[in-house]
Amino acid sequence: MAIVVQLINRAGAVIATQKFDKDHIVLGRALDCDVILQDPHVEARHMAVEVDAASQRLSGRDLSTLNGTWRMEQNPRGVPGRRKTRFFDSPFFSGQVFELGRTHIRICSAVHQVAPAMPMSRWESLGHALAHWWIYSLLVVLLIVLQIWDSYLSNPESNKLSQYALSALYPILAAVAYAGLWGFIGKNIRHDAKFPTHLSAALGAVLAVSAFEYIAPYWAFQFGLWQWQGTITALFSAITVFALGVVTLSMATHLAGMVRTAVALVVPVVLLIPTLLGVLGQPDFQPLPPYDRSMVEPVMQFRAVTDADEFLEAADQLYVEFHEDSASTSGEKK
Amino acid sequence: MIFILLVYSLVSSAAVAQTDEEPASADTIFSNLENSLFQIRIMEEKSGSQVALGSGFLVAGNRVATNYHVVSFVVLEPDKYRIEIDLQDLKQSLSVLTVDVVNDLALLTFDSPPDDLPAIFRLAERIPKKGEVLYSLGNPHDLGMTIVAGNYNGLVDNKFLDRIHFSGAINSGMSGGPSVNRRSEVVGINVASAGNQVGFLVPVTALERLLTRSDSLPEDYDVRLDMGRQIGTVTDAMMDSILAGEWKREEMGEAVILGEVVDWFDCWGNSDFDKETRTLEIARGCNNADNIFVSDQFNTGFFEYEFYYLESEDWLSPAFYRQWRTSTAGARPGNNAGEDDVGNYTCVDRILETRNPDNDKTLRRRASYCVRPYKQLKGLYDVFFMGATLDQKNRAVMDHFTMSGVTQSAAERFLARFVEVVAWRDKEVMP
Repeated sequence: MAIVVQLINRAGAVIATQKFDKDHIVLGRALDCDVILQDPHVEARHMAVEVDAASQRLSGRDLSTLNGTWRMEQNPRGVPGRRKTRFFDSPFFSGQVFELGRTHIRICSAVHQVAPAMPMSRWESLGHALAHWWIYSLLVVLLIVLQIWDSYLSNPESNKLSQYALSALYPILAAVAYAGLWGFIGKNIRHDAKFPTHLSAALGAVLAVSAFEYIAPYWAFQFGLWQWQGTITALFSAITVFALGVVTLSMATHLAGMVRTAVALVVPVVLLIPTLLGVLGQPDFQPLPPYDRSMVEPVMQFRAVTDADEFLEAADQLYVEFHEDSASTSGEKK
Repeated sequence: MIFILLVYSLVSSAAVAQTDEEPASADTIFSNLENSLFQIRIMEEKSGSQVALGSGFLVAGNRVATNYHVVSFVVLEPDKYRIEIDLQDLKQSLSVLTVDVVNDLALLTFDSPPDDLPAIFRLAERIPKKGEVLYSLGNPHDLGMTIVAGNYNGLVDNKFLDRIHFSGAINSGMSGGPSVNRRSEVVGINVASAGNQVGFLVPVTALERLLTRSDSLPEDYDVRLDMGRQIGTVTDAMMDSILAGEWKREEMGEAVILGEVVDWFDCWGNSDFDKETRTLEIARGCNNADNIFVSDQFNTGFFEYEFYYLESEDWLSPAFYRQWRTSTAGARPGNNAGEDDVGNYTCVDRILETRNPDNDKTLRRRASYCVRPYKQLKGLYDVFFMGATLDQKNRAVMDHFTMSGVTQSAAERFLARFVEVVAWRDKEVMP
C-alpha cells in the first residue's frame, strides 16, 4: 500500500519521483504537506489523494482551490495533451496526470505497471566515445588548421594569417551553439545534455564537409568529374547533415525509426533543393563550351598524358559524331 | 568581266539620267533618284506590324538592292515575315531572290512587277578618289527620304572584307540605301556606322558580283544553303591567309606565344605586376574585326586567339593553381549564337604534352577543343580551344582561340598548327 507521485514536464518526461508508504497524502505549498510544490498558483493545501488498501484503487479530492485541480487527457503513452477537465472529488486510474496551478504531476499506485526496459542504443557507446575531451579538442585543432590553410590558398597573403585564424573560429562557434541548443533540448527531453558529444558530432560534421570540399578539385581533376563537383559536394554535405541529424536526434530526443529519419531529412533536403533545381532545370541549349575547368598543382596530377597527334585525332572524332547526328536527323525526317 | 559589262549594257537604256555630263548638286541628284529609292519595311504576318526598317534601291533587272541585315528576318523565317515597300503610293510586296551574307547584301524581286517602274540606278565603274564627295541616300529613323553629303575615304585599313570609309552621317534606317557620286552612280551601299560621321559602305563591286550571280541561280536554289557556302568560302579564304602568314613566335614571360600573323588582325596586349602579391600578369591577343551578321542573335566569321600569362614567385604551388583554376575557368566563345542557330558544344579534354622545337623543352597543358555545328548553315562550325599549362610550380600560360563559321578542314588545319605554338622559352625554368 503506497502512493507514487511523479513531477513531470509538459513533454511528459519525469522530473522527480516520490513514493509514500501510506494510504493518504496531501499535495500543496504548505510545509506540512506530503508533496511540497514550488508553484505560486498552487494552494497551501491543494489536493488530497487516497488509496484503498484492499483494491489499490486511487481517489482524489480538490481542497476548494482558487485555480482548481484539472484532470489532463493523455495519449496511450501517458503524455498529457492540451484538453483537461475540472476535477473535484472522484476515483481515478493509476497513472493519471493532474494539473495543479502550473504544475503537472502523475499519481500512481505502487502496483502500477511500468514499461519494459529499453535495450541500450548503439548510439550510447558512440556518444560516450565522442564525449572525450581530447576528441573535440583534436577536431577543433584540425578544423582551425584546415580553415587557415584553405583561406591562405584562396588568398595567399601570409600577413593575413591572424585574420584567417579569427575567421576559422566562426564554424567552431557555430558548433558550440549547436551543441548548446541540443544539449538544452536533450536535458529537457532525456534529462541528459550530452554537450561534449553534440560538440564532437557537430565539429566532426563541419570538418568532414570542409575536408571534402578541399579535396574535391583533386578527384574532379583526376577522374574528369569537374562538371559534377558541385553536385557531389552538395550531396556529401547533405548526407553529412543527415547523419549529424540522426545522431543528434538519437541522443537528445526519444524519436526513433521512420520519424527520426524523416525529421533528420528536413534540413538536408532544404539544402539540396537549389542543387536539384540546378540539375533538373538545366536548359537544353548551353551557349558556353563545357571544357574541363579542373586544375591542380603538378605534384597532385596523375592523369594520363597524351601527344598532339592523339589530341588531333580525338578532335577529329568530334566531327564524326556530328556527321552521324545529322545523318540520323535527316533519316528521321524521311 | 564580259558578262558584267553585258549586264550594264542591258540596263543602261533605262538608267537614271545624269550620265557623263556635269557633276550635279545634291538637290538635283535627290530629285533624279528619289523615285527609285524605297523604304523597306519588314512586316510580321500575324500582327501586321512592321518590325524592321531599312532602305533599298532599284537596280538592273528591276530588282531592289538592300542590305542582308535589313531582310534577315524574312530569309530566316519566311513564313513569319514579309517585305513591303511603297511604290507610287501603292504597297508592293517583295521576295528575297538571293543574298550575299558575307558582304551584307540582298536582292529582292517584286511579287507582281508593276508595269511602270521608275528608272534603275547606275553602278559606278571607277573607284572614287580619296576626298571625293559622295551622297548617301536613305530613310534615317523613319523620318523620310534623306540625302547626306560626305567624303570617300578609301577602303578601311586592315580588314579582310572590303568596306568603304565614308565620312558622313549614316543613321539607322539608311541601311541598304545607295551612296552615289556626283554623277549619280552607285559607289557603295550603306551598311554601318561608328558614329561621329564615320560610316561604312559595301563597295559596289560586291553588288555587281551578286547581280551577275543572280542571273544564273539554279532551279532548286536554297538561300540558306547558299549562305552557308558563302560563309564557308570566305572563312576558308581567311584561314588560307592566316596559314600562309608568318607565324612569328614572341616571348611572353617565360613562355613563347604567337604574334600577329596577318595584318587584318587587330592585336592588343597589357601587363600588370602587383607589388603586394608579387604576381605578374600578361595578356595578349588578336582578332579580326570582320563580323558576319546572320541575325540579331547570331554573328559569325569572327576569329580570335588570346594568351594569358600568370607568374607568382612567392605563392605556394597549391595556392597558385587555385588561382590559375579560377583564371582559366571563364573563357567564352567570341561570337553570339542562339538555340535556333547552333547545337551545343561538344568537347574533347586531354593532358597534352608538346615540345619546343628550338630548345627541346616540353610543355604540359590541359587542352580542350570544343565544336558546335550550325543548324541552318550546314557544314559550318564554331570551334573553341582552351589550353592551360600545368607543369610549372608557380607560373603558367593559357592559350585560347575561337573560330566561328568555319569548315571542318579549316578548323583542323588551324588547330594542328596552333597546338604546337606555345612553349617554354630557353631561360632555365625550375619545375
